[in-house]
Amino acid sequence: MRRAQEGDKLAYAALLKDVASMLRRSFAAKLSAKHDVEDLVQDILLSMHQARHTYDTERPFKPWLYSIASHRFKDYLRKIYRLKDREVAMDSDHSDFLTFSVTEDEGSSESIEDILVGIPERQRQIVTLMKVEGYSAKEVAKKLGMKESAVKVSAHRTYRKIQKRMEGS
Amino acid sequence: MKDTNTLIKQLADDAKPVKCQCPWTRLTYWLVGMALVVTASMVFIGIRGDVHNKMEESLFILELLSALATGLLAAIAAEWLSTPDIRQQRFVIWLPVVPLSILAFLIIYQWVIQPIHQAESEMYTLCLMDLVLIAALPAATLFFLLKKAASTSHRLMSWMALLASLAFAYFSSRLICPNDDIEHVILWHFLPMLVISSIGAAVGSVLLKWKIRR
Repeated sequence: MRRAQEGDKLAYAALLKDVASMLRRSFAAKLSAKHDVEDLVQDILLSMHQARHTYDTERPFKPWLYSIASHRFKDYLRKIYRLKDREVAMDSDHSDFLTFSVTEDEGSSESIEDILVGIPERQRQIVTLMKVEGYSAKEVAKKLGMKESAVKVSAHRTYRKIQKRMEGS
Repeated sequence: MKDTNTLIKQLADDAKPVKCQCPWTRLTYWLVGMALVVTASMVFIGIRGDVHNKMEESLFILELLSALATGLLAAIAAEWLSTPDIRQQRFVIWLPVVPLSILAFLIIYQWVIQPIHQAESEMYTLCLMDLVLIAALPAATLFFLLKKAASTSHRLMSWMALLASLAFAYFSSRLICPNDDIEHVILWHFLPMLVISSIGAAVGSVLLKWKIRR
């Protein structure tokens, strides 16, 4: 790290690689999803880079690094819990839609395809995968190469659109 | 999100030489500035007339010394808190608690032993205003200095930074304000120092939050 502070790019790259693999090992046990571990490792590397001027070369390196890592891990957990809270709120928002029968009411559409007419292709795909084929948001995200949160937001918007449409008709 | 190896390469390419910022140097500059503000406030507002007599009272001197020690140790704690690992000397954050407790004890002691006088009402807002005005510039400067660092305890750091500025302001305001009524000291000098630093800490923690720059 001392050499990195002096501007030695090779030494810094080697240090970052070592740190990344050390962090990966450490967080792999705590986080199940591999991409979550990579996200967190990248956050920590960026933070370490931003804070490298605060490292005192006369003191051990690992406590300094672990403080940053632990800080970013807490931030990450906060983000996850916030997202979960939002999910719960969204799920309760969707409850009307989820319990709505598309076949019982004669006046309403006969199938989910009819309901989804006019909905953009991507949103239609997400809703079909989630509500017809029974995939979870996480699985849909993986399938479509999107973020889980983006899938949930997109699904939520579609439900809203459909709900408004049904209320109108 | 990019690949981690690409990120490492980018960061290594961006590795310009950086100098480890010594907290003592920053602290010294800030303390010199604080001393100038305290002196200027006493010159412009004016020291209390009975300062010579008051300097013979051991309780008053102890009170001033405790305020000074609180300011100094809180500033040191804020500086230490500005590094992610608190320079591996966590005990530093407890140091200001000692003089602050002594100051609180001295005030409570005076409240118990002294008869209560009626404080002049026009002094109330003036004392509070003095306290805030004296502390404002040093607090802003300290926040500016601390913002450049990378703290993992924003709230505690901003509380320490505000406590440091307000403790020095308390010292100064006690040498300016001629009202020694202990109720007045508690309500318009001591409590504002604690309340403003505590409330400000919440706001400060948002300002001092260390975000990732991608």
